[in-house]
Amino acid sequence: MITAAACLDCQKALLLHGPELGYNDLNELRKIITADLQPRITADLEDFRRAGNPVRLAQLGAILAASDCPEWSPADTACIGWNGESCTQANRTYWDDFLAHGRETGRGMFFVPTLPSIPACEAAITLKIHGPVWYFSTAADTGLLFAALEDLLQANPTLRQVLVAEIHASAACLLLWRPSGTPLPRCQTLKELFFHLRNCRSS
Amino acid sequence: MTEPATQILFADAISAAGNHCPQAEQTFFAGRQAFSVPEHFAAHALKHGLCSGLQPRPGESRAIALFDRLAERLPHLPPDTAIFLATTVGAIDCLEQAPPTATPDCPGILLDAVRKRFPQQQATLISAACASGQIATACAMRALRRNRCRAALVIGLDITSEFVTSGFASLGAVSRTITRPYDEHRDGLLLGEGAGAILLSQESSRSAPGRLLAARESCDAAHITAPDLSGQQLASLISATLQEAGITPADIGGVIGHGTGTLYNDQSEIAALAKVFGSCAAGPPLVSIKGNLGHTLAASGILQIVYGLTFLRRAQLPPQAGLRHPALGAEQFVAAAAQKMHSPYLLSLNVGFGGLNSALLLEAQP
Repeated sequence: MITAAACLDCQKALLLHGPELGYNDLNELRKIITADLQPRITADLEDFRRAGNPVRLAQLGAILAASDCPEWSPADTACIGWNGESCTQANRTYWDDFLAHGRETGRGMFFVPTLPSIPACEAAITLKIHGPVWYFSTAADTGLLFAALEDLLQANPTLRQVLVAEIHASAACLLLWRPSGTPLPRCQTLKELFFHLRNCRSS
Repeated sequence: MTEPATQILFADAISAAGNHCPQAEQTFFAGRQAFSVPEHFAAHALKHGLCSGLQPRPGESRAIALFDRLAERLPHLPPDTAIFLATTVGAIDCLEQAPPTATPDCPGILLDAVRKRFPQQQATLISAACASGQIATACAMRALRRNRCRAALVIGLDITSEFVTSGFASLGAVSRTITRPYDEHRDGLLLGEGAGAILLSQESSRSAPGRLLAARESCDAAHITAPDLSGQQLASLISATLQEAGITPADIGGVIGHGTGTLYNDQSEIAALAKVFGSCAAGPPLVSIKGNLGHTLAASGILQIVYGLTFLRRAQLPPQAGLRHPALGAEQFVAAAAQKMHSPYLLSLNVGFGGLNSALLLEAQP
């Protein structure tokens, strides 16, 4: 079951159980989140300024999803990135910057995000999630995603939930998933699943 | 309750240590450092661990050429085999050669090549920085144990490239001289390229060269590029992995460490090993194969498993290549000579950017 979720882009965010948030850019969303952070959620946004949009979306989306969950606890959580845009744009950004500097000096701030797992890692660092963290890419079918997550939790009895993140260049969807006997509908993306669940709640 | 062991039905690897495992075995036990300066990109005299004779066709990615070389040696895959591909940047040289307006999906290009060669199999890309290889193996083991597939082929592959070398150099992680894992005077890693494959199954096989008992992963959640220097999270992970397999620290016959040769990585690992094995009469022997063949990123975890089977067969860990004076705290683990393993249990460690940790337990076939 999905216990909480956040779907956001660079100007608005939706929570599964909450209202819509509007903002001019992700810096403004950061300020809103920091001001409203609930005491039960500890979040570290120290690296926010140097991050690109995929990482910022992952960090802010993770906080929003956690705040949407009444029983949030990082101690029993895994953080898994799935599909999305991976590192394509980050690779281009690093390489263009390297070429622009005469192929002499690469810049670490652009190099680190070239790994597909970095947005999930940054989300884990932000929320102090010590469970498993990685990125994987499958065919566009949430059935494959949740099968892998079931396997992960089955093998790790100390884990109760997974924060799963689908990150694009300017949008992201993050869901908190727990195993349950009720199957979820199979969708192509987390965003599609998010809106299905949100529509079910409102109807 | 401990899970039934996962059988390794087939294992093979290509790296700077050797195009085939017997050749690599000679490299390891001679303590040879197989590094040279690449000619396929401007490496600014930095040495790399290169796969010999790898010549991509014009316009072809070096990653595809390496994958093709590996794929030709793979056995026939049983029906219902799932494929897990571990890579960090995949066919990154496609980006280097692309026009400025193009944004190729470099890991996706490699995944597509795998799918094209094995159209009947379901292929998944796993990327967890330099811990990708072992984490992909953990995912495969879980899928097998839940009967999601009958067999699992895990491939780890990454290449050397200007993109990656310049990136690691920008972080100050690359040695200008030679890599010396676990050495007091280590000054960084040398990059390498490699490809490895293991075919796994839950069905018992007397001809299997080894078994995987347990595999787990965790995250330091401390810093995006630096590990937690206390080694606490890694130590907890190792303990949980041993517990899952139902064995104690004293049972471990040897450790293949991540051992990049950077100051922080090795310090963190040594701290973790001291926590886990501190109460043992003697620390288990430790080696990093990156001293021989460089840091092969996502391939490193698979190479550790493949070459680990060789070490288990000999009941010996090879000398630590590049070692002159063990780092503080590492004296009880590493040696410049080959070390005997007192048991058939080999622990393998991978860590990666993002604070990712992976521990995996390998056993010689009883």
